[in-house]
Amino acid sequence: MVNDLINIFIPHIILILTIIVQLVLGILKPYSLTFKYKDINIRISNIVTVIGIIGATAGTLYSQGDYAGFNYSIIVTSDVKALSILVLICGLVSVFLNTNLLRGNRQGCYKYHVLVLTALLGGICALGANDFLTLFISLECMSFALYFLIAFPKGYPSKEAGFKYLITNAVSVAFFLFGVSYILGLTSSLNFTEITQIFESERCSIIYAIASIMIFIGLGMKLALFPFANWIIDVYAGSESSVLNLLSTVPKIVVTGVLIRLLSGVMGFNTEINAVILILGLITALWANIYAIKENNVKKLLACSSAANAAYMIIILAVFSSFAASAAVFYLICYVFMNMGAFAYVNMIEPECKLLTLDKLSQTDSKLNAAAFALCCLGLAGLPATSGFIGKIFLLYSLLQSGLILLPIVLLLLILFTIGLYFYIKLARGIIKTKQTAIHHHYKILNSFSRPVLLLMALITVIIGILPFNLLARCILLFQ
Amino acid sequence: MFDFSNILSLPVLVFLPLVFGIIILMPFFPNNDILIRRFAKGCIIFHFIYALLFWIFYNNGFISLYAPDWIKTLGISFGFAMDELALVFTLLTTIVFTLAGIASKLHIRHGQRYYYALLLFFETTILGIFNASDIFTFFLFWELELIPAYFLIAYWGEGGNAKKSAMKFILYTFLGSLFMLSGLILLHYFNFLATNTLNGQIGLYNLDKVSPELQVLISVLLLIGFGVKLPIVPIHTWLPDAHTDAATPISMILAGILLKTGAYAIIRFNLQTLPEGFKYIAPVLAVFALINIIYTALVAYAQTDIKRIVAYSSISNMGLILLGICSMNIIGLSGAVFHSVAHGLITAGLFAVCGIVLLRCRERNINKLGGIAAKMPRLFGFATVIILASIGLPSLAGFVGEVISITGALASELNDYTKFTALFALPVLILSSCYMLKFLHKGFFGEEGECKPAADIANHEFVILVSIVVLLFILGCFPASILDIIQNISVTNGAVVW
Repeated sequence: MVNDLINIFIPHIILILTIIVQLVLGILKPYSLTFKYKDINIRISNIVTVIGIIGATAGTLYSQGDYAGFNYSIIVTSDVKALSILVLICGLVSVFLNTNLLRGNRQGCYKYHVLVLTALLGGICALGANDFLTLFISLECMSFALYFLIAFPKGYPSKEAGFKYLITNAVSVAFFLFGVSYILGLTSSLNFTEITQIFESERCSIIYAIASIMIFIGLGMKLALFPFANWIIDVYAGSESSVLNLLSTVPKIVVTGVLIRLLSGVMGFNTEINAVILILGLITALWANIYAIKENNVKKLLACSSAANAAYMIIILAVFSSFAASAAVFYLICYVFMNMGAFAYVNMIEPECKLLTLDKLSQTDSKLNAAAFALCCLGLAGLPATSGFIGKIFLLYSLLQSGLILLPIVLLLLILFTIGLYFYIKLARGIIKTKQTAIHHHYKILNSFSRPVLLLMALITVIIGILPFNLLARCILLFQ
Repeated sequence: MFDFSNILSLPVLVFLPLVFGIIILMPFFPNNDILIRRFAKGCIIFHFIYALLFWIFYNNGFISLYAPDWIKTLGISFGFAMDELALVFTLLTTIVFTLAGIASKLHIRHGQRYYYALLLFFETTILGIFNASDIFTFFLFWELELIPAYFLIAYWGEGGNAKKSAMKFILYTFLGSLFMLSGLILLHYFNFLATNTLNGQIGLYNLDKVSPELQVLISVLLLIGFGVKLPIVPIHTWLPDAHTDAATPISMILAGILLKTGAYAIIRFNLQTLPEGFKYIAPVLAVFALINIIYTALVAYAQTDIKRIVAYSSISNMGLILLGICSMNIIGLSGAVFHSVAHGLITAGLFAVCGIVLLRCRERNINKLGGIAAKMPRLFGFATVIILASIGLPSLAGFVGEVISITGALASELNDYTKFTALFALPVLILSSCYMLKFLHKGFFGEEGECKPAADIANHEFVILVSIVVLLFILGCFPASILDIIQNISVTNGAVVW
């Protein structure tokens, strides 16, 4: 029993211990700010977090087999472990990109790390949740940390962005809880396993359909799905790139994992939910792509890209099968790495210009950096030799596998992909220096880690694009 | 004796240009424009000779297959194979790239390192399309080709709107290729349902059990993708812009080869893999081909920009190729393949002529040109031969292609409509002489225009034009040189069998 609990909770315990260490360090502040080497506190807190996250990853890898604990309210299976590791990797990368952010607020560097670690903790708890209560608390734990992270940089835009995220999330949570309360009323249970057993034997009522749609809408807000899609533009425009790196990846991974679990059990007994997922996903993708056509702000463009890709991923889940689930996870993994590459490049040039528009994108002197960023953008557009290409093939394959009835939707998606290509090409073209852009030339990289992160992400994108087999086989094994 | 066929390897053939391109981009490569240009030219010519070896040592039915697993879950391999059809198009590709590489000398003034690297990469992607044996490998190269094409059009273009045209090109082609992708996925999936094996090899598809309606659907989806490249009339509008605004060598490649990928793909997929479905579409497509021939010929006659005239004439000729394919018999198919080669050379030659005129006179408006023949007699001589070949003068290559394509359509056993379309197409060929002779007449004869050419053609331009003219004569007088290669193809019951 105890052994089981330790197996389940090793990563959580390690993260909590790291949070405690950061809090204690935050109180003690080992080196005062008058110390000659000003960045020492940032370095110390970074090192502690990196050790914590690596420890948690190792702990996740260490536990073998499936476990369930706390009266089946938390479970650990292979897909939970895989997605938890992905969440931890995203956290790790965002720690490597935070130098610019923390230099603007040296006092709060320990607080920042506490928030990042809390978000990760909430994320991996939610992935393993097998109970609506656990799920709700874990998701809120993640979201609360994210509000403060968005508002962490100094200045008005970040506060506005954080507040917007808070308000939208609060409304969406109301939807979620509304749905949960109906399910509770129908089954008098909150546990996924029990609810699934009850619905397997009973005919589903209309209330059940309403409840599952409400739950989906509530969760969809974190992916910026319609009707809660508008926040993403302003929040991204006002946030700092290392925070965005976290915001655009961790909630996506968590919500996708949770949705796969819910759709394979609790929410999977009515056909209405599939239509709702499809419609909401299509509306979001349409909105995001059309919004991006005229947009000139790089962060807003990446926000549109984020919403559109989340929508594509959700559309895969509309035809729920084990192949679709693995295709969605594969798409997710590809997206996460390409996205982190793009934000690493933004992180590099961000301190130079407050409002990052397309014509300021070509500031880096290194052609390798520019090429890596262009590769990430082309990958997001789904051009070949990148992981996005394989992801796109699998997206369409899993949709067409369900027969010809989805062909019109596939054709609509194709048009959306093409609109997407237009703005990704605009992004990729931005890195080429022209006579006008050559003026802002004085530039030095402030954050020594963003370059390796960018190159690594571009490399991963290409490797998955050329040799997707291993990763894909693993994704398929997860859901067999 | 040393057996040369041992050194012939398809992956090497496809990826050799890419390797050369990467060498040019390497930091150790000297940053000397002349050296880069000569090295790139040497590489392209070396590659051409290597492709010639494939022709020389080609045995009947020789299919070199190379197919390691790529995405095993779906039975997809990273496969290459060469048959007669692929061999013909591979040879055309290497020839036109050689000519374009030589033509780049005066047209490309900046960023030579990136230009030649992209050009070589472009060659790899096109050879990949022609030699892919797996549908997803084919699709990979089909999409990959957009990246070098976009940058080559946008950043080395001649017109002021090069970036816009390149964007138009990439959006059209990308949307088309996505339609094609959904067609390919359906093809793959329904083949799996029918035969219960996951398989990506083009030659192994067996759709006998799949209903004709479904085959028609898949065929139409594929045709949207191929039709953008070919191009078929309602979706052709990217072509004139892209061809006009691209630099001359790139225009040569776009018109000479890129359009032929569409023709090749229709033969390969619609005709070879989905013959039952294509039987229903072919008569309709033949009407589209007729519209292609007539409409674009009339539009070409109305143009004043010399590059636009050539661009529209390309679409018109591609209609002829499409008509040959739609006949679904061996004569029409041979005509389509032959005319693809002939037109590839003719249009490359015409764009080369336009480029030379453009470089000397700095003017593309045909009304402001004139009297070039007196100042540039050598160019005039070559241009006349190429233009006459384009019109379809006997003993030149264009004539053979046109005649065989239309004969094939007349002999079509599908239904009478196809024969009617062929009858309509025949007198319409006179239109091509209208716009082509207008080009010759207004550009080369008459009063001396506002812009006076400074000098006649340079040596490297002489080489390009001489080789095109010689090839046109050889193909025109000995059409068997191409037709012999594809003689093993037979069309039985509508299906193409190798």
